Amino acid sequence: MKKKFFCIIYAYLLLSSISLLAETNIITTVTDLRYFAEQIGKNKVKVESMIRGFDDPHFVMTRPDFLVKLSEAEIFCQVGLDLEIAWAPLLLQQSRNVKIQKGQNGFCDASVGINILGKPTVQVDRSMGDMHIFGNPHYISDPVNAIQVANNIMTALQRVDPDNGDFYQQNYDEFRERIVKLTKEEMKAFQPYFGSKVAVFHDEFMYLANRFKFNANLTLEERPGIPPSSRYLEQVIKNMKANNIKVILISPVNNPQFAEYVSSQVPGSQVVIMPTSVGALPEIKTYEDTIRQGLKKIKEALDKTKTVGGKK
Amino acid sequence: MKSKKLLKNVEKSIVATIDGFFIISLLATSIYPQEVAIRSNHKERVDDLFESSYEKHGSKNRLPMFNIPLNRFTSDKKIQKENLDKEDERYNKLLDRIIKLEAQLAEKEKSNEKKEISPEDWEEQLEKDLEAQKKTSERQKDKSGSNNTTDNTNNPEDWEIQLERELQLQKAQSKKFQNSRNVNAPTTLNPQTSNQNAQNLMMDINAAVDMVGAWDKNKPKTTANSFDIREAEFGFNAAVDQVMRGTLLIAAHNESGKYFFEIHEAKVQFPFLFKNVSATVGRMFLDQGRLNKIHRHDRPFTQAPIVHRKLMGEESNQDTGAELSILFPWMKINQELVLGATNGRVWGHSHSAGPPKNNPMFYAHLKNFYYIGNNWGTQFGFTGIRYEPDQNTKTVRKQYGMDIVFKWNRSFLSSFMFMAEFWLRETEFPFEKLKNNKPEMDRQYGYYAFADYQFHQQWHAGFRYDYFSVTSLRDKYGYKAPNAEIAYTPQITYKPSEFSYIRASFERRFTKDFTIETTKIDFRPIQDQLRDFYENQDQQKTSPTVVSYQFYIQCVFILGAHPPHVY
Repeated sequence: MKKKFFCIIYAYLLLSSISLLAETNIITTVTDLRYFAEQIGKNKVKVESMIRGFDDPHFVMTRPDFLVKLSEAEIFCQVGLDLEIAWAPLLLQQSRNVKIQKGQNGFCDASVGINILGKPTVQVDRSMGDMHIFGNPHYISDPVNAIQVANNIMTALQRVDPDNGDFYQQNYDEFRERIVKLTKEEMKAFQPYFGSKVAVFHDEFMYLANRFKFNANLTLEERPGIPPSSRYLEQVIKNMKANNIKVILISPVNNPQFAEYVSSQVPGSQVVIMPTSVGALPEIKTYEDTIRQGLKKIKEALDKTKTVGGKK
Repeated sequence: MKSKKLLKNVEKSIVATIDGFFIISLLATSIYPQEVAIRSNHKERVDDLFESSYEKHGSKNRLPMFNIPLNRFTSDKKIQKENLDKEDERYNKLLDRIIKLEAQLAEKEKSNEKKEISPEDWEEQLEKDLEAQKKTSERQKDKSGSNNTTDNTNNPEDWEIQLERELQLQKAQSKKFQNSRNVNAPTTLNPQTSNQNAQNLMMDINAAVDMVGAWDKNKPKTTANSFDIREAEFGFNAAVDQVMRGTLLIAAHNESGKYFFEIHEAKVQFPFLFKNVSATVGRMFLDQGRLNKIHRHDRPFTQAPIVHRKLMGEESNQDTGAELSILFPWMKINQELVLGATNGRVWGHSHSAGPPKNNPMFYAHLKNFYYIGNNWGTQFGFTGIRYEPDQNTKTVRKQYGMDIVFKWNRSFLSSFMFMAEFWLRETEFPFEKLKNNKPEMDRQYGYYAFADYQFHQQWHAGFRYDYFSVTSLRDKYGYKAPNAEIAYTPQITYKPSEFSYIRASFERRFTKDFTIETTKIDFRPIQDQLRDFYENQDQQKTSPTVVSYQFYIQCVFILGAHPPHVY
């Protein structure tokens, strides 16, 4: 009886340590990273994202089913810059999987090599809200950064699965070409809108604005993660009226009531719900859709409100 | 003959000397600044100079300085022609040299013009400086204090060049990262980790302060009727090395006005023992039920449920020992089994070490999680504990628990939680030690159900129902004494951020216990009272009760990097 029991235990341990699938198992925190991993790995990877496109990556419950997925993963990919600080480190620690811990081959921080914007210039503390002390982590909205992210995922795959290194490199080159073409097309199309000014709810369009040459500095959030006070919203309204800003960009995870209130106080203004990641809106299936649809919405809003180019 | 030869030699030397003087004079003429024309048409200017010389001196072939025609020194036509050719050649060479020197002088004078700021130029320079400063301040108009924002003044036509440059740079940098694990950047990039290390000394440090005010108007008083620091806790959490992770939590409790510093938790976790197994060793809040592992300042209510206080301790059941956690690989329902063994000397919270026991305390907790979908999830668990409360007898306490939680959230904007726990305790006394007809089994049970809804980003409303009863309780006549403690507690919480909250709760508790003296004095004989009680079983709801009301205010704040909460 005892022998049978130990045989069962031994068999369980042995079988569970052997991966019967040829695919590399990747777990990502957000859907954008999942999309990039699918483009690089194609049929040689099995990718899953922990959250959905319309979930807020700042605030995620540490569900036990994430632990099981992470325990089986060969690569864990996160956005980094403390975007997932409230949940990902605990899950990683509790995953019982040494292969995906920091510093191991299976750990992929997608922010490596990114030209980071939005770094604090003063010593920060919690009175300033939910500050990202290493810089703005919403860098995926810049397609040039998406190329770097794909590069990071490719190098992670090449570390874990070096036999298919050339395959991943080829896919990355094709992906890069596509994104470069997309960037140039969209920039040419957006050229008449350079210099336009928009307001945003949360400061998550900084990289998009930097790439496509529009101004998205005015935030409705007084402090990140904290609902704005009415006093601050009045200042925002004054600012928008004085600078002829009539477009407000929000993400599907934001509370729209603040943007709607401000919009009601600024005549002719419009609230635009932007696709902030793959799957954020039903029609956004790919990263290219995120960029194209997002810019299209901005252009339409600027045309409608006649604030193209930021002219007063 | 000799004299003729001598004359010829003298003539040659004189001609040579004159040529030399001619060349030198022309050179001197060519570099003298006032004679060199600062114009684009050098040849014209030089020709003018020679023309003027010609007019002055009569012939091109005459030295302007000495006014001596070259050909005066020979009558040979052939030599005269040769001399003319030589002069033309020299003329052309000098002309080239003059053109070059003119160009150099022109450049020199142009650069001299730049350095020299005439009084009329300072205004233009000032305007340029002011314009540059204006661009910088426009870039710094970001409300969050960041200045790395868009430079909207880029010339739109330059974006292609800028884009190409960045793509080339990225391609070059990506090659440098090949085979790297991206922990150390092999290029001069902006490292993300150096600031973090400087900020937290490679460990997370936090402090949590829990302040509670409690008031009542009961007689006798059921609360302290004051506002005090209930607890202050310091926490340190970090990776010790590649094998283990350490946690140290030190807390000061307010016990009857005195503060006692003690170790709440001091443990190391081995996260990667072998496949899906981890272990924790040290002093800790034991993984029994749902609430026991959660510290008071992290709980969703101010006062612990009655069942928890009665059966687990005022705060939690803590002990020193080891826990083994096995995460099963099933995907549909996620299961985790925790097996624990601790000293078992004391139960709950105690300032003494307690007597040594014959056996440790053993416990097991099986947790099951099911993700329903759309951010709805539920976790339910079963706990079993074996504990020996008395070292001198074979008394054994067995405690069984069941816990469940339902959760849903929409980011940090809205959420709902339902939580409930049921506990049953059975203490078996050894039959041979019974005295005074005490029951051989002490049985107690209780449960609570709590619901909390976040109706606004910073506001929660909650309600809890408590029930507790000792089923083995006997009255003084040996009959079963029905009893129960029941409480209703509504509450409201204001959470400005995840690092602080203020909570107000109001508890209405009533105790049904036939053994408790009531305020109404029944002077009838006891036999009549008992007969009345047993004949009116359906009226037990009106049996003697004590009703009390308590009001609580709780304020909690957290400093530093508090670890995330488990599900």
